[in-house]
Amino acid sequence: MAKKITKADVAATASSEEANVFVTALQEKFQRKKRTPEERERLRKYLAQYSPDYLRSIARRVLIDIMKGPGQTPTYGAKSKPTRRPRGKRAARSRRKSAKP
Amino acid sequence: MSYDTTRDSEQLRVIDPSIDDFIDRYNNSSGLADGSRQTVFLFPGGMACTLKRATTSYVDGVSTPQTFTYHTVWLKPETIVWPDDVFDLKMTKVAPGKYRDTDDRIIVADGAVGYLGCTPYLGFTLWCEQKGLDYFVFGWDWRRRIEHSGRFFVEKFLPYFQARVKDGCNNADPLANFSLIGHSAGGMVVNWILRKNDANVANMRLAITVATPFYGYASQVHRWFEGQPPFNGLLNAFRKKIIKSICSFPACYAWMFLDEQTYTDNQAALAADPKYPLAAYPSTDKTKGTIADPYDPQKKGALSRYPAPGATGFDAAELAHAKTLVRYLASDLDPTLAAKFFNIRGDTTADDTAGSTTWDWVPPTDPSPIDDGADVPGDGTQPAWTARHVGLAAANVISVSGADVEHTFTMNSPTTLGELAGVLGV
Repeated sequence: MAKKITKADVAATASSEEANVFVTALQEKFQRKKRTPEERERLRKYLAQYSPDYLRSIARRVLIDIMKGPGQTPTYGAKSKPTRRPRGKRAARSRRKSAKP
Repeated sequence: MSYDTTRDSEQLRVIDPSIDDFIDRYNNSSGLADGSRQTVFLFPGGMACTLKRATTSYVDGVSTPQTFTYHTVWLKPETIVWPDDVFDLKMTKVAPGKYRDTDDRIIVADGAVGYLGCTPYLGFTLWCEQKGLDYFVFGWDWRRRIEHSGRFFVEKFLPYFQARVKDGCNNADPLANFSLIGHSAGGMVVNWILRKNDANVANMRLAITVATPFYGYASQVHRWFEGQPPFNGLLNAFRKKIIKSICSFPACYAWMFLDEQTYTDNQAALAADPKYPLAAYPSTDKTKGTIADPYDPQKKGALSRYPAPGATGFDAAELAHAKTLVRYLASDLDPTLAAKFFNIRGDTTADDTAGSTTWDWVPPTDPSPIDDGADVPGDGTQPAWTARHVGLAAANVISVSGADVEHTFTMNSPTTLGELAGVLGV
């Protein structure tokens, strides 16, 4: 029997501001890093620190904001703030001090 | 085989596993409650289909068929960190209406996009299974002209799909009773297919759009100047390259607010919308408030409306082509076709959807010359006034409301799916 769709299934969505903080921190952490297998693995581990529900809530907002387009959403990557602490441990910090790409 | 023929052939080959899945589902389902069978094809929205890129280049002059292996380029979690794949989506025009992918590495579509475990169509597919609908999610390349995707579906995919399913399902015909459902820009493809009324779809029962713009929306005109966050990167480091990619996508030229002539032709009907009237032309000059038709860009001395082609690849010829297309998609419908056309539109009740834009002259292009006007009712992306064809009977236009009918995820919304059930009769 297929799962019944409920309102709860469509409810968990991060705010644009929350998604912006998450995405910007992610971009800062990996800025100037080339897309190598090692860095991809590092990214995978970084994301794995967060709960699936939290990542889905961010993903929902990112998808919504992509479809909305730049006029109706915040400017991702404009500034940096600490993101929500991942489940059970502190998020690894970027050693890079500069926000310049 | 030519590049185009190879791409089409490869597109079918990449779709094959999804047809296998359809056959499995079909053979393990008892169909609708009354035992009958009904096939629905879902066209996901623009940017909501997965795109895959060949790992090696197509080679010209080779007589034997070429096949490739593919890797996903749209959309992966890493894309917001390393948007290289978005740069690689850039298309190269080789002749009017003819395009090739970067480095001749063919790009094909493969179903709906998923991102960090999240897909806008999971609810729809689960709902189809509950109802006993035989569904197929048709991935289409949202970068390409709408006509290309529509023609491929009708002429190449449908006959192939029908033959394969008949072969795998004891000669059952999946097109004996079928309908098309298009979400967002996917509905533009459905609209095009309906109007073309090819013999292969003459038997189509219903064509349904959900949250599909018929008269454009605000966001696309921003993208020519602002790129697409979050792929622009930190401090917009990648914005120029993202804009170049966007300007190379023919489909995007047809996503802007309606041309002036279409507005004039439908002004009374748009203003007479009982729920969501459009009071004035939605794209105006920033200073004077006069009409700024995206499809008829004027000049003011050395100033113009669009970014310079040399810096961005903005293609005036593609804009002219898109004008013809959007006028066609908004034109009057044959009554027989209109009778089987349904438009579902959303209103989140937040009144936070950009309903108009103002446009300054360029250069400069930074800061963006585009500003959004007043917010109006809509699904957060599409104003409600744009998401129905004005020529349809009132019974064929369905308005849904509530927070769960937000644009991107409306196909997961119980409210939307409830209305869809009513239209399909399931």
